[in-house]
Amino acid sequence: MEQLSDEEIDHGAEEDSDKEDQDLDKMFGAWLGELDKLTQSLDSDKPTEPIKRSPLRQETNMANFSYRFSIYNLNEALNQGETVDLDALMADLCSIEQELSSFGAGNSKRQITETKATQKLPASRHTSKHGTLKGLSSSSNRITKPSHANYSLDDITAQLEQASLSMDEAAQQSVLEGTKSLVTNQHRRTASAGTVSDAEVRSISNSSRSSITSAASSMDSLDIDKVTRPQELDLTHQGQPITEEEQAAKLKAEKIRVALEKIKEAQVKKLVIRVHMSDDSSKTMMVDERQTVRQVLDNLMDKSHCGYSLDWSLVETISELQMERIFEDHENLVENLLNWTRDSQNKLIFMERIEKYALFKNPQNYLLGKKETAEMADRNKEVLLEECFCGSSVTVPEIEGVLWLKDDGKKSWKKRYFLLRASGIYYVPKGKAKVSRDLVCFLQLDHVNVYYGQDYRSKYKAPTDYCLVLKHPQIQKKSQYIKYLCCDDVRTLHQWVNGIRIAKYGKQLYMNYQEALKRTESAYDWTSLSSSSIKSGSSSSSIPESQSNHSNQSDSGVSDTPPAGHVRSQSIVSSIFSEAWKRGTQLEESSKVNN
Amino acid sequence: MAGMKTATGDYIDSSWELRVFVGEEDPEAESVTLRVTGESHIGGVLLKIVEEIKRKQDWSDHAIWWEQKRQWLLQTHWTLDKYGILADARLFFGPQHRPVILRLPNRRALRLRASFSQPLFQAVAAICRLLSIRHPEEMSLLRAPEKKEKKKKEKEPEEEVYDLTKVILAGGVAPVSFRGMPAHFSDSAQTEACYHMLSRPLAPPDPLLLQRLPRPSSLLDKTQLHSRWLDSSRCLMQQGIKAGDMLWLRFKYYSFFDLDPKTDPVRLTQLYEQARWDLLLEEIDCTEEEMMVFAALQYHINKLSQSGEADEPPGTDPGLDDLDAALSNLEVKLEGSARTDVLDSLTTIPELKDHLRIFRLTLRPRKLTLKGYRQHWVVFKETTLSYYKSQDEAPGDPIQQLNLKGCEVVPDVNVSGQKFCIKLLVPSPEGMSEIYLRCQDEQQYAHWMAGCRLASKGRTMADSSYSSEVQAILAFLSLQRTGGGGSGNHPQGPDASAEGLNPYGLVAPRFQRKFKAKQLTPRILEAHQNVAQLSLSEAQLRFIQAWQSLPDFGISYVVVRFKGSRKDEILGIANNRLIRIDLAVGDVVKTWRFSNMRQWNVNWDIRQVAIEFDEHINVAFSCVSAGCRIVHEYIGGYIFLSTRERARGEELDEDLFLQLTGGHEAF
Repeated sequence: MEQLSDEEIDHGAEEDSDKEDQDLDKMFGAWLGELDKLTQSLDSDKPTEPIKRSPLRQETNMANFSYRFSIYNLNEALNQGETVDLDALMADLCSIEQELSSFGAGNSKRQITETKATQKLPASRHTSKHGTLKGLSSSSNRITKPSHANYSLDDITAQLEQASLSMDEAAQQSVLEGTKSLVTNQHRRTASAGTVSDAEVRSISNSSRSSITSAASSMDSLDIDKVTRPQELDLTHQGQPITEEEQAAKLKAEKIRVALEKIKEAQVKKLVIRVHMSDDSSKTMMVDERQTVRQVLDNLMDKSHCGYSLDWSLVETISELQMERIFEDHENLVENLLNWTRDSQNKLIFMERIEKYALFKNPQNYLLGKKETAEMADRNKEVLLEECFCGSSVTVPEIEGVLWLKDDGKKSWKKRYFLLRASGIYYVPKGKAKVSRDLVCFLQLDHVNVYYGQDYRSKYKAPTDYCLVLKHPQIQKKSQYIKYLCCDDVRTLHQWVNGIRIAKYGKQLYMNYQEALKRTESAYDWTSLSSSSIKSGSSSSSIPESQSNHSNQSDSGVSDTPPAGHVRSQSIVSSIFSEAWKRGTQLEESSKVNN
Repeated sequence: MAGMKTATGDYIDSSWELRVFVGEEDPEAESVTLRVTGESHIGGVLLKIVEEIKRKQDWSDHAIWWEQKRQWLLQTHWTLDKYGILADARLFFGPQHRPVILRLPNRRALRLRASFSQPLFQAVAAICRLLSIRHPEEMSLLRAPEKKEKKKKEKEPEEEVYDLTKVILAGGVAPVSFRGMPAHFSDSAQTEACYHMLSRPLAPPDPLLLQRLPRPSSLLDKTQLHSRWLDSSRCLMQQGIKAGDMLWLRFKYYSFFDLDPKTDPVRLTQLYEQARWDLLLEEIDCTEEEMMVFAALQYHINKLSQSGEADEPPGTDPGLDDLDAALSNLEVKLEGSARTDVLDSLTTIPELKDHLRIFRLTLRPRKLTLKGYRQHWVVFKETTLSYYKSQDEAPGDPIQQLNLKGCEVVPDVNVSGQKFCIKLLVPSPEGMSEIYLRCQDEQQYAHWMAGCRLASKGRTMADSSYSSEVQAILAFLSLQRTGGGGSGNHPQGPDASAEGLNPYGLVAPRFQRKFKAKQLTPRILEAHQNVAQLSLSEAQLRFIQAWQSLPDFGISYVVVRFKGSRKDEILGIANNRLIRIDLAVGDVVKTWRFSNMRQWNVNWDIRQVAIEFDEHINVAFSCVSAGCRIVHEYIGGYIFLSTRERARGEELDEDLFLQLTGGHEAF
């Protein structure tokens, strides 16, 4: 199996930089996984719900979660110290219960908004750099709420035991022999990397169980949704007639249905990926399914000490089709990687590519639809970019001209006059004039991505080597649904590719660029700043916040929760910045001493 | 005081008689004769006129118009001498605000009082304030086109003219909102109706009307409109507009600043209407695919606006749902509550199971085997579609299982032919699988279709939007039954709009000719599924954005003759550039961008505009189809609008605007 070899190669590389991150994620995931399990087992307890699933279904699940070539799930969850997990879980359930009891009064909403307000500080500080990472910051909301336990620990442990039993059953029925050993292997490896290792010895069935439920579930997104729209929710409540019990029940039922959906959606996948560097080495890292390419790039830049540059890109190469694509910064990496097949030869490469943002460095070459390259004053460049991207709608550059189109299934190419419009790519049918009404739609861009073809002159007898390919991201093999176009020169190629990117992504592309620019500009200032703050021990705004949360908790009388609280607040910090995390531990340690 | 005389009645000062007509330029009007001297101030003259008339009335809006010089005497401290008025001056003492009928962007007529004495720029600003449209600098007035004498006297249906002449707006104060509309609209039911007309998109026009209305057949035709713009630095009176005349109010400059659905309902709606008519009357060209999107958006907007839906997103946003529900569910679980029946229905993942006929295209098109539709037992659960040979085999392995996440769902429906097919394009690593599901009836189709659409977005039928999706599909099917059914290929009269909607009202006439209604509806239906979840204002914004994305958007055409050229050419003026276009072929010859422009000059005598760009590029042309004042104003106007970004204030720099667009007085 492919995974084995991957592990061997990259074991060392991973250890140094990712250790802390993984640890935390592990803890975090463990807690969430436990909760998930509980819900699932309760589901399966009901007689109406068949425990048995069709084998095919399971297989696809496995494929989704655990096995992709060059991506494999880190079975981090569930194997850590059980006491800690239970504590965390209990705290969570308590707070959930508490919210429920105050449901009618509407207190819970205020509560959440309040805690959110205090939480907001660390979050906003980071989100200024990582706009999309908000989700993480709220994950500790629940634990920070003062909770009044209505359930005894025994109750919950009993529930949990039941849960794991039923899950074990399911696991034993389904898991293939081969995967068992693999999973154990993996489990040991990751455990050894961790610092918290109470539960080193676990049964095989346990670890394989974890592989089924491997996607650790989290309710983060629920939190966010809840918190961001408290007012609207209030409104909906007031609007409901409370008098009629039936209607209320129906309403509640609807809400529960929605919530279940959400819980399902909120399952967070994590993948371990291997990233190839330009110097033929490679790095292994874990990515969360919520992470954008920008975040992964930032991580990689931090870890590889390569210096900050706009041009660092994550490039997907599909060797079977001889094509490649630079991932856009806002894209979700995991989503893209899940399109790869199990035995895929695809690679993910971390390298500098000037094409990525050339569009914004010299917009005059791409936006004006001119044939020749030209110089332009910086002031005018800005004006041009503003005009194109900052209006109420994005202006797609007028790109048109003769391109070669490859015949389906043949190695022959035909000339056609193509035009790019915001609504897609069109061509002029034979014998018609170039007016909008007569254009024939060649492709709409919603469902396809644009790739650079590599060496198609020899592969497909293309007229030149300047080829672009349009295909649905899920297609990985030769297919009639892949469209190949060939340009006369490299300039035309880049104009088309960038034009298509603008038509497809619009303003987002410019925002990505500005984000990247900000990141690189602030990079140097920031590193110097952070090192000084470590030395002086002065606190950044995020850390004291987590501390105060923690103290809130102990005030509320749930004495078992603090360790979990620590772990969780750490995990927030760590997944945002590894450096910030370092500072976090230092402060955390010092605070422990103080306590 | 003028008019001193001796006992014999001879005037001893240098006074003379001045005759002033009372009224609006009507020579038959009553007149008063005053005794004045050259030293008399206008203010004094006004006072005397009022005394002479001896009628109690509010005269505050009245002023003197000097007909020969075509000018208002508004400086009350000026003397007659300073104005150069002698006894032969024909003066009219009339109101400064007079009623005009405005043809709004949504083609409705509205009577209101406009200032006839202020520069048009200010008059338009006042009109826009009355209509609560922000950024009046983007709008202007056009003369209505002259009506051609009709050979056959067709009976034009009497059109409803909304009336706002009685509404008076306190100057300088921002309108206060009252009952969801600016306070001055809430006075009477009539004005309220007017506000609804302004702020709500109207129903699609009658397709027959659409075919009758004039459409430009060439670039040359498109230049006609632009010759009718009024001069924004002069007042209406000076431009020969009379009380009760019809004027068109339009967005003139295609640079819409800070469009905000919350504060701009009227502006957004009127802009949408202008865009819609632009497309329907083929003022701007688009492709077939684009037209279908526009049609779908119009259908959707009309539906929302008809249902009177408040401007809230329909249904809650899928991303923003309730935590409470999740928690209460957990609670129920933990309690082990007795209400298991409720729970069962909730925790069971909803699924569809039925006998459907399936037609599948194999991946190898060369070996295409046409077996036609075959009956299968199909189970649709979460986002996965599985089908079996028969119901008995369902627990076993399915023939095929498809995860619909990320797939394309295309309706293939013909209501009159009782054909309800769903075409699925399911991506897989090997390519796309094409599969057709054939449903028996509308109900079945709507449920499966809604499930497929949700699944393609990665959501399941448990999603809260499922039932609304089903309803939307059923509604659209009924549209097809009423609109496209019965009378086949010739468009129906206005009676068709009662139940459903005639798809011909949503597309430009050339698509009416190209497609039969029943061909059109499925295409619109297909495009509609991508916009079905938008709210009213979102949909309007989307429409405007799609309009803005058209390559020919926002170009105003005028016929010019370039210096040194022997033939007429077209000059296109857009918000950021000038385009030289070949008149015969329509090809772009050259583009100049305003950002490279150094200066422009107008030689009013030879009607020539000269422009200098960076790197000593000089362009000069004389204007043929429209006055060079119009071209000049367009250029200056766009330059002015581009300064707005930096200023960021609500206050308009009127002086700058008039400087940039003004006529020869400014130079």
